[in-house]
Amino acid sequence: MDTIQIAIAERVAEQHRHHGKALFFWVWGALLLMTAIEVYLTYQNMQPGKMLTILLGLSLVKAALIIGYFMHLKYEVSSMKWLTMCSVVACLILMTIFFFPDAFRILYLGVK
Amino acid sequence: MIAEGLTLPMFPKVPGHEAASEFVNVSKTVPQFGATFFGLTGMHMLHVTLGVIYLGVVALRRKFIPILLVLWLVAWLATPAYSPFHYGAHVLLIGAMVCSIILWLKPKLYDSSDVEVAGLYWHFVDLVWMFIFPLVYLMSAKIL
Repeated sequence: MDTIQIAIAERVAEQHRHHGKALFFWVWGALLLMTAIEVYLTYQNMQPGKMLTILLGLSLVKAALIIGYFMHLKYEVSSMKWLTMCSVVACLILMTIFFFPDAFRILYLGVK
Repeated sequence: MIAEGLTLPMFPKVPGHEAASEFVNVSKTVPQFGATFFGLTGMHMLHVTLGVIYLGVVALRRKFIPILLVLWLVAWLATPAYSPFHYGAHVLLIGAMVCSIILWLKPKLYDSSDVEVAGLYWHFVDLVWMFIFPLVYLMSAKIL
């Protein structure tokens, strides 16, 4: 590793040292709570479109918490944040283009 | 026709394509729910199993192999023969064998990078579940 890499690694590790395990348990609790809300909403006889919107919204928040805290992106340097997030968005756009015609069939899954 | 079919998801309504009519029919004639459901959840379970083995080896190294073998025996003997888990349990045996080979070929003390990478793998599998769970389980729940 050259000097710059070592410096970056140390800065990331330094930011990481400032908190204990408690924060990660709070994040886990929040994830459990959001999962419970999702399961509760499933049984509320909602319009499928509305339910899909709420479920995916909650899932996006959960995904952000996991990426940010458990995968440590919050403690990374900003260039790493931009690089990884732009790649993910590009991937999602490709998936949307590919699966677009079938994407809305999920709305009719529970309706029988 | 196969080539046409491969481009269909992007251009489903091109007139005159032989595959287009097949594409319309396939959703009505082929039962896709079971294949999709067990494809997604089964592949996820395989990845979770690999993650457990990965984290176990990083955390416990050689001590994890007997644990895996006990888990394999319990999973194999405690499930009835008709259950897919009866044969699926052999993934744990294969995992124990792979662990042994890895630890034999390259014995090392795992450092913080190994823990970080194992954690990244685990939480990526976790991340996928955040979307599979609402889309596959919750959206298909039938409200009685």
